[in-house]
Amino acid sequence: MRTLLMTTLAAFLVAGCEGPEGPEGPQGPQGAQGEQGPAGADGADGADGEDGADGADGADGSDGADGANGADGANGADGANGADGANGADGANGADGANGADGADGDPGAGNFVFMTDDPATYLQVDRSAMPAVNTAVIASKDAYNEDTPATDATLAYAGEINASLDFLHTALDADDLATFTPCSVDLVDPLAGECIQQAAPLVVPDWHSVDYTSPAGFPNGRVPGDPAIDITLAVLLLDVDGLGSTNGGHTAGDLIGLSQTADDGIMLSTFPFLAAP
Amino acid sequence: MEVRLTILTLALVGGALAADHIDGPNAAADPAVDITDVFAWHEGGRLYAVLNFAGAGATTTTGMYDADALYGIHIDTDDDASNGAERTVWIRFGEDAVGNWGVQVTNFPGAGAPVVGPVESVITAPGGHVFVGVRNDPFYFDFAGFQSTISTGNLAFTGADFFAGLNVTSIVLDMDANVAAAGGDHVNVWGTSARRPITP
Repeated sequence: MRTLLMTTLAAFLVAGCEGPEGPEGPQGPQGAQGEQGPAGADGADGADGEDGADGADGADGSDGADGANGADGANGADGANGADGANGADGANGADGANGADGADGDPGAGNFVFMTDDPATYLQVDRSAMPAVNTAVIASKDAYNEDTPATDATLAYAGEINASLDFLHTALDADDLATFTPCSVDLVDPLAGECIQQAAPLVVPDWHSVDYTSPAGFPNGRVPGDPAIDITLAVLLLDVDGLGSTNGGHTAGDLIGLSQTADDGIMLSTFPFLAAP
Repeated sequence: MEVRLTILTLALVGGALAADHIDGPNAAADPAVDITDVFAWHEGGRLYAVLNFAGAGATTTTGMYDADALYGIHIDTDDDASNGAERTVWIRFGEDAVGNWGVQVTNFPGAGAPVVGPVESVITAPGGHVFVGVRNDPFYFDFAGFQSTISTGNLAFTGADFFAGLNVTSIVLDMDANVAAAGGDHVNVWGTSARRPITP
């Protein structure tokens, strides 16, 4: 009996699906009703159920048993044997049996999530993102960019195609739609000499969100949901913004706010997780 | 004019569909790992990060969970891009024996062991919180105005939100800002998605 229980316990530890229900010890008083010392052994069964709580840690490990865990979860029912101990009114040990009842509370396998254990380094990167619209607006080799890293960005590997895209935009817009603005300039001969890329590069290269705790949050100091990040980015790509690059055309990075973005439909929550339900 | 704006459209169309929606053919073909937006900001000693995926093209009323997908919230603390992130928080999804989806978060700042819990529920972790679930897409952009701009040849934005009512699957992390920054006062954050290789 003892050996069987320990075997069950071992399996239960792996399964570990009932951990959170551990607090259910109220049945203990029933045990107090009893006086039959020998039956205390049943109480020990209950202790097995208590160990089931430890099993929750095993779930965290999750590296193990995979699909078989579902079946292991059924072992939680074995913990219910401990409840028998309580019902038996077997001395003080019966209280331990009450812990066993915890095992009975668990649905077999429920909550015992199984995760892949492959080394992250072996996965194939499909997408990456930080600065909004960078890939979509100014990157030509989109898949390669998505599979790449900020380390590559920092080598200015994408500066050439960013500059070519900026030239596209300015050729299309400067003479008419941006006629009332002072656009920044693009230099196709010496890409890094252009005012536009001098403005854009510090913002989007490398492609990450810089979050400075010593300054108020708000794009481009990080990106808060609801920030007009696209319109700010468009201003930096299209207009000659004061304080950015080498020339000052009298614009601020906020001069296009409202062009394409007004307000999100989603009501942002004031507390975690912030994003609104559908 | 229309010709030139068509060129502009080609350059910006991905941006019109969302900040990072449909930004590359490979990602667009695989919504579970197609990132739509990444947000990161600080507030009151906390660092928050959001990674959204499975956007407008795959809108559902339930989250899109894939056990073979891997998501990374990369946190650089030394401003040196060349050596990568000093910490990467990895997120995976997995099912239990009765088909409920859960999330596992490893390398969560301040938590020694992986953080595990059910989706669609705020999970309390050592040093913070984790949430995964379907959310209203927080990205907003006047795509209709953009289309009008194309057809009329003039900028015609009205500011209306084309993404109203569209959903994404969100990963939201609430972290101790100081721990995430390894004691510093700033971080650089980006998100990635990856797929588990198929073993022959």
